[in-house]
Amino acid sequence: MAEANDLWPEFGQIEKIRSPKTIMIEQANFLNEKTKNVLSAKVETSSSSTSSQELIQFFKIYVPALNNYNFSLFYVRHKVIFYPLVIGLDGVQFPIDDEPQFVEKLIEIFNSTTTLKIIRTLYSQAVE
Amino acid sequence: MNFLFWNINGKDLSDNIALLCEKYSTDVLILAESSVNDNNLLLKLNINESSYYPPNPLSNCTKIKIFTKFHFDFIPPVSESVRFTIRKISLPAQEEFLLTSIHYIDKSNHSNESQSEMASILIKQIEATEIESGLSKNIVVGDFNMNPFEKGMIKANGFNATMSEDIALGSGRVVQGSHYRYFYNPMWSLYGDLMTKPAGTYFYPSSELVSYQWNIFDQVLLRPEIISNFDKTSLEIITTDGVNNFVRNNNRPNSGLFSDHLPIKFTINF
Repeated sequence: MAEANDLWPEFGQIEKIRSPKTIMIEQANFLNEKTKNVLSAKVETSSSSTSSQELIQFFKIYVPALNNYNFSLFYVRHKVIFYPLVIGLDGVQFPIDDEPQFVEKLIEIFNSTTTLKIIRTLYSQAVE
Repeated sequence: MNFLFWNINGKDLSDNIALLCEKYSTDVLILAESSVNDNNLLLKLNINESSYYPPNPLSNCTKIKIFTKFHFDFIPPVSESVRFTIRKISLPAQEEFLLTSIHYIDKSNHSNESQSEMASILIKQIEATEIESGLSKNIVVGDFNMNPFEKGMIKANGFNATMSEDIALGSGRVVQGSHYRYFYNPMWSLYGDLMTKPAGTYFYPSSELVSYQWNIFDQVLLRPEIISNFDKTSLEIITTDGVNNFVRNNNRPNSGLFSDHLPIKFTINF
């Protein structure tokens, strides 16, 4: 019997890719820290009902002091291979090609007047 | 409990809204595309007696405003985004239920495919709230920007909204091993002009070869558990506030003076 050959290339150091969910959870934790846990951002995963290979990650801000009221800030739709993905925000879907673009879009969302207004409103009502 | 929904197209129709609420003894007033100052509208609503309360200040849904005849503490938002607000209505000595109000993405900026796809995402959030709150009685009302027969409204993994009460009261649909709960969509019964005019809630005379012209974008959907509370005779597309006609002589919305959408009303009995 012929000896088996390794058909794979040399990978060298395999670069780890952070999943969009991991990045979103990191940002959720930052928000929780910044608001001293008055707000509790969470990432909730749901399988897409349109494609079995797709996942939807909802970025929600919970307010425990207000009976766990939650506001769905945006969502991300991606396949098993993370990129390209789609960010859904306020009824508009933004195509994202890679991690740097994803991070850039998150910065834009988190710094938008709408988001800051929502966070201020929720925080103020929670600590009233 | 009397509900009235109206997409007022960014116009100050507070006088007409006040007349409508008085005419139909509205308990829950839901507005989409409202740019009316809340306090100014409240003054008009309460011109004869102080019946109405301002919208719940906790709400961050900018597309929908809800005024009620009961204090806003009884209608807290549970889950929201910019385009939808899910409220828990908890009145003393009355069974709790959910009221979901939406102003869905429009056709001028989104294809039918996009609308359908996003219906699948929205329904996941509605279902998550139903599960988290433990409440299966849910009324979904608003401007869906889709007709009752369109994919996003019909498909099992969308709103799964059927025209038939009997079907809605069944056990739901199982497709490829997944179970989908129904909504009952009574708006189907208001199509056409044989029984009443007008033939829809929104008129759009497109120049395309295929054009429905009359559409029913403004709809109410009911989960099976709340169908028995729904007063079928109460559902109406409204054309007048008793003083002004919202339609022209040809029964099409007078969008110059009022909104391009017509209001709808319905009653839920407890």
